[in-house]
Amino acid sequence: MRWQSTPRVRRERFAALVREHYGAVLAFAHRRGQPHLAVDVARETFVVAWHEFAGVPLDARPWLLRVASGVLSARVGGTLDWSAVLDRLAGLSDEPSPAALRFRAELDRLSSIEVEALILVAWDGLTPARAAVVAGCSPGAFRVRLLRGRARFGAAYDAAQPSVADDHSSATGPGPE
Amino acid sequence: MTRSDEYHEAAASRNPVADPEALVDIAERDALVREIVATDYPLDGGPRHSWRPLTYLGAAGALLAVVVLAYSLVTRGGLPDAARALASTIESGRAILHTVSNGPDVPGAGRGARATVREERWTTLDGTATRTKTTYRDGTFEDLVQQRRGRRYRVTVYRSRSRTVTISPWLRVVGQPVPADRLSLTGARSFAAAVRRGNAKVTGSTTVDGVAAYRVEATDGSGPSPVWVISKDERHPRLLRVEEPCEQRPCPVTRLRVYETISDREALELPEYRGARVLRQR
Repeated sequence: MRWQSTPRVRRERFAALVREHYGAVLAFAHRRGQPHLAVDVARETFVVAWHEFAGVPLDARPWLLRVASGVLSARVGGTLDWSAVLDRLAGLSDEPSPAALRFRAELDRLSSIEVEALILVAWDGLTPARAAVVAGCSPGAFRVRLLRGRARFGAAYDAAQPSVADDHSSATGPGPE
Repeated sequence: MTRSDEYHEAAASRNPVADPEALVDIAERDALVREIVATDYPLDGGPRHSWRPLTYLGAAGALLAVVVLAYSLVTRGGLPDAARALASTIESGRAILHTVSNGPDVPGAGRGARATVREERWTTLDGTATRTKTTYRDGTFEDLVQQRRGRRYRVTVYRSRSRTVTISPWLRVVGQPVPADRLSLTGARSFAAAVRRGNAKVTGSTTVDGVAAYRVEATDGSGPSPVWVISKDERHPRLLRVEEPCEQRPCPVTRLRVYETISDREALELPEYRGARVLRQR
């Protein structure tokens, strides 16, 4: 899409873009365990969007999250630590149950790209085709990542189901929620 | 619900930010917009227009070179290799030029039974022998062989309508040799001569039956010139069409369906027509 227009119209369109997607970009950083960076990531993402406004596609969300992903990676030194995300996926709390800990341990089997695929769809609410844009791969490759991620997540989920022994040790059933 | 859906639900239920809008500080967001739009907008549109001045200069130079080349080709007498190759073929050795054409075709004319619908010709490139088989609209045909020996020539012709073969005596050529052909060889020779003398130029491009071609005309200013339409194929260039000069339009057009050089000299001889009466002229 080329949003070449008068400066006034361009500013209005950009403001609409920010209104529509600002929360999603903040949430993107939050969901990746970086809430303290969320505002900065959003700021840099939209600065990039303003400078490349003519090239922002009509379906702007994946494009913006792709930029946000790059900004976030740069802010954390290149490699995002996915452990906080896995903790969240395992449902760990301050006093984790044995089942939750077991689930968390099983989730370590997921590679970072599988975790990313999983949460782009499950948390960021993108379709696989749109999520592929964020992940920087083809839709086909993304579907393979997602399939593997879900399979491993499912295996971990099943393996972590509370046993009878857990039921005795924990009254609240701390396994997967 | 499938197991896959269940796993998806399980993952989704652990989303740390279920409602992104709850994170938004509207005042902060609007301040960000104001701050950003206050900065200069890149009027070049970003990377799509990130050519440097040198790149523009290079592109302009390349474009200029192409224009100059095309201009010189079309208007300065520069001839494409296909035209030179064709002229060389026409003027080379003892090869036999074989052509099949529709004969001189004047649109709107020649509707009678004797109108030529097909003309097949074999002729030596040195002009010493020619055979022309002319087919008319009513299905009759004439097969004419002309041989030359120095300043003498003889004509042998079979006419299907009368089923006769007429053989002329050896006749002396008076003045210029009688042209043995009307169109294809004359056109080809004049084309080759014009190219050799540097009097031909490309005046445009066209297509003939889907074949890309040049239009070539003589530039010697000696009078009306035919237009030779030659294929752009440099390896096997062909004369595709000859547009004859004329006073009144539309002018005759000869469309060549076959244009090749062969070495089979038997093609220059009259075949045996069974039952034909032979008439010898004295």
